[in-house]
Amino acid sequence: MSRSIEVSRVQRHLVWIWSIGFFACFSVMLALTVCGTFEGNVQEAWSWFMPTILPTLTVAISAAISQTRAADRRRVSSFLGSFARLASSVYLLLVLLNLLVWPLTGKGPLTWFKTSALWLGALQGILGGVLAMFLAGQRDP
Amino acid sequence: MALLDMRELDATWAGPPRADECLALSRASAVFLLLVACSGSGAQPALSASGVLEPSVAQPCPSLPARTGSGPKYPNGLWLYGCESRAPSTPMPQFDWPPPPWTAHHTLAPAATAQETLGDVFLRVRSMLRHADLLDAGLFAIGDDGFAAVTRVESIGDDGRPRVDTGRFAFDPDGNIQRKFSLKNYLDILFNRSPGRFRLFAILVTPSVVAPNANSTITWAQVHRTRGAAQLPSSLASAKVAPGTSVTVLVYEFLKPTPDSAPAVLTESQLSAQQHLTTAGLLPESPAP
Repeated sequence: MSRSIEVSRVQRHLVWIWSIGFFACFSVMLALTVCGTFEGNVQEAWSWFMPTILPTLTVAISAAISQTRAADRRRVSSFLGSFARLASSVYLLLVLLNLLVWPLTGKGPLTWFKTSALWLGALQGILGGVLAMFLAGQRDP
Repeated sequence: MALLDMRELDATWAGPPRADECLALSRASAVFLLLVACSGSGAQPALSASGVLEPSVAQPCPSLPARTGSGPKYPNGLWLYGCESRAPSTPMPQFDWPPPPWTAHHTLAPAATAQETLGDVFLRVRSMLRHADLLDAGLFAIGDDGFAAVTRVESIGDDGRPRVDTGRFAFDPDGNIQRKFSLKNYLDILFNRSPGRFRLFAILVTPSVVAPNANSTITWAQVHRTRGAAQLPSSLASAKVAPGTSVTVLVYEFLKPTPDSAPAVLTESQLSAQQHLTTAGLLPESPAP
């Protein structure tokens, strides 16, 4: 029998990962906005940022809350749990890198964000699949 | 020279051209040039001081009479007709008139007398441009009695001085300044601390009143698309300075507010026209009081 881990524990980790990731990315976005990097295009910049993070963050938090309320002791494969945490971390790191790496590309931030949305969107889809698999893969001990 | 058409006569030669056809005979590059006068057409081929043939009027001559017989053989056997069909020569590009609204302007003291030609004034303008290291300015005609010298767009700092950290002309067509990598440069771009600031000068020599055309605007794309001539045509250079001709410098300052936006011309600047001119090197810096 493969090693397993409590779902609630993984979910707590995911909440932490997504909260920290969101806070870091949000801070950078806020700083760039205040400094006028998006001057005249603020709405467009935030329109890119919010859908990049918020949907998955919301799912992670709401799932964690519902799990806590239900006092669910179900368990999941530790590989799946680790994979969900790793995928979330990598994705958030990529979003943060996107916010910080555009000065090196020779393009403006919005131009770069639009380009990165192509592959970030794909990664977000894969990440959503992993998280769905994680939730669907819950099993009793 | 490149404006002239060549025609070989050989077998159709019927003696030398008539006197009214011959304006000048010159030898250049070991080739005899026969300039056929185009009396009545207004075409007047001219030889510059350096001996270079400069057709002054770009319009076709009337058709020449046919000749028969054999003519003298010259070393290369070619007769070159100087003005028979010198069109199509490229016309001098015209400066948009009235000019689009500028950021600042400065009228220089009248620098020309009635005895001077536009070519004389151009030499002084060129001297200013040389001093500012902006010799590659493009030239445009303003009507038939004036000209404009428009400098290349340069990248400047907030104080109006050409940027030395990145290079005066080191930016791409979108106005993105090419910077070497350093933490400071990276943070400057990231937090928009050093947005692109650019400038060009249009030095106008014209007797016309210089007033902005409120219905037009100068765009960044237009700046990069428009190219002026490299030299004044002899017709313009030899024209006498018209009464009331002044030398006015228009300053067009562009600001690229964010890395994503195209530079746009400013209607107001924190720098005066005088400051722009001195920091660019077009005028000497005034001594400190």
